[in-house]
Amino acid sequence: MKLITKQAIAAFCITALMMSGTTKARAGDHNNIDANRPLSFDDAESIGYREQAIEMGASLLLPRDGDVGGELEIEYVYGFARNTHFHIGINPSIGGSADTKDTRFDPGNVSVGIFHNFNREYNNTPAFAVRADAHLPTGRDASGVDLRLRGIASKTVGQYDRLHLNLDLNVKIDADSDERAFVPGVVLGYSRPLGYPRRFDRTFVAEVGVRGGEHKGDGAIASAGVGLRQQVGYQSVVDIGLQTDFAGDEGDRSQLRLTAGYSFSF
Amino acid sequence: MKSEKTRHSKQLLLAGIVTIFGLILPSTVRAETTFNHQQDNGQNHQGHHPNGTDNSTAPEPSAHTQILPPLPPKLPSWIDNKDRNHIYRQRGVYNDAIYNIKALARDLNAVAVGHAMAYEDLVTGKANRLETQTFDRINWVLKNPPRFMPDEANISPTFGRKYGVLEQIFDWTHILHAQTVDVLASPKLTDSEKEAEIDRLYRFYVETVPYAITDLPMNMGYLDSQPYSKAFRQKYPKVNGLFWGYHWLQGTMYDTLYSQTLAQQRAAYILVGKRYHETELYRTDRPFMPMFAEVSPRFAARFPYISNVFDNLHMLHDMVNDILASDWMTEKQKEEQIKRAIWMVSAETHKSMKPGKQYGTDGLHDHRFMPGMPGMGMMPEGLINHHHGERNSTPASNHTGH
Repeated sequence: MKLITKQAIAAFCITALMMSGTTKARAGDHNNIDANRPLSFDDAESIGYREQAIEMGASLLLPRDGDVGGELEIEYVYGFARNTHFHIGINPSIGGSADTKDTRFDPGNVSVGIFHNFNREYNNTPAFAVRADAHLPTGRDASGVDLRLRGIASKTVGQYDRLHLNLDLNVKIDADSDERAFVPGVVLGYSRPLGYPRRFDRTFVAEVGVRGGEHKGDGAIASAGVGLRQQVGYQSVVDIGLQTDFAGDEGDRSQLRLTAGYSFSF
Repeated sequence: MKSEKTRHSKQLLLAGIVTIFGLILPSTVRAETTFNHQQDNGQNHQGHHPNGTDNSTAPEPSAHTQILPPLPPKLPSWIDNKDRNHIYRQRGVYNDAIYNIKALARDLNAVAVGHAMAYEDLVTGKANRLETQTFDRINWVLKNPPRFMPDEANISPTFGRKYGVLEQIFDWTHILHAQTVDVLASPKLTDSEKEAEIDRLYRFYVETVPYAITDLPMNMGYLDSQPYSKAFRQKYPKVNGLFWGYHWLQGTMYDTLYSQTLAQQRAAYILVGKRYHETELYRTDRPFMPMFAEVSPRFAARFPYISNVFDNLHMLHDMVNDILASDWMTEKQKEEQIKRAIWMVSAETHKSMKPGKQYGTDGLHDHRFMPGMPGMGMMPEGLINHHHGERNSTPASNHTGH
């Protein structure tokens, strides 16, 4: 096994172990779903006003035709106004991934963003929200700011099942000649609490999504994932998820992504 | 909270988004959306099927139909808000200290589940199961309490979609409940620090949102003499017994913890918890809900305004139970009466009023207790005979508790 693979697996396992061993630290709400915790979709609820949270995760990347890689993500979230929060994060990585053949350590881009919930779900009206993120070019070989605008609608179907529609527009300010400046995407997320009426600390999540290829001429890429969010402390949640990308065409390489995360509020 | 202009702009924006979303994701729940309940307060659906579809028709007016009091002419705008408005608790070294007394913490976690389960079943067409399956489900949780505090909104999503503002009020006052108990259970604070912190938490409660519950001693005889009053306790005595058992625990725990060391608190809760589980939860012979000053007189004497808030919260729970259990009302009438019940116990309705005084003669603004004296639920017929008070009767003016 290559050294880079061992390092990635070790980093993932250590992080996952740290998370599973922590029992006392909403974020701490297992039913309030944020992007990458553990899947890519958001629900339409912000964290509470004045609430602060740290959300972190580690992912093991298994590209079909490349080296194993690992990613870390740490994000600070602050509910600075009612129904609105700010977030700032970074995601360093090492090893291979479907996006690049470069396996060197990458400190990753710093991302800053804002999330606003327009309304709670009421009667037959979904909860609506919008989030905007800017990815600053702090990573290896990065240039220009990448923006993402995401519209979110969450609606209950049945009694406890919820659907979360995420519509994305990714904008690359400093796109290369072979890159697309605008890349749309859509993700349909699903969540359902598990264990009712006897336990109240676990939520199942799943998603399917389609996004445009980043390079001109590339086809769309489909993705799917399943995951679980488990409350482990008074204000803390562990999540675990499995995602896969399906190659849109031969120009893209698919990968499996195994994610484990931990979030706590304070 | 927001200016009228901002609110209307937001509603227009929402209306546009709703339309687009409606095209993308066809609805599975049939109900009418009203942006301004003062213009159109009605929905045509009556109850919900578990899958979200309506499965019943509006009850025809029957012999049980009564004249319902109208909504006040000018309600505060927050009573129709469509925001989520989740607000985080105050930060403090005492947060979650209740888990130092693990048995009490878990019992309180179970309390949250019970209310939510009953409300969800009431609004999803399962009211006929309340005394059987619902009771059994709640009782199982009470005997096997969850490790962590559940989010009630997750357990009763249908109820929350219908009565979101009510849920906000419950949630906000429950935070005051939880944090004051955390303070009392904290070994990191002195008694004087605890008292100061509880006062600070109370100020945080009343100053942060417009939908706080009034701290005045309310005339319980008046609140319990509405046309729908007592419906829940008469139809569902076992589940009502559980609810009043919760209220007994939520009141009793304050004096159990007040000015005690952690060791004393743990020792005391062994006895209190035993009585709660063996007796108080299953009593169906109470004439009225337990009042805070009856079960925690020391804490109530020191913090009468907090004591009153909790009594008024519990009374609001009872009024909502009664409204939801009154099957002679239409859905629209239930929504209006719940809105009116919120208005009756809100701090805004009693603004600038003082304890010890009576305003008007209808009973709503009858706060005749000495300033600083916790309310004891003025009842027109006294505790022993309180079961069928005259509707809208005014309590005897000299009645000062039981």
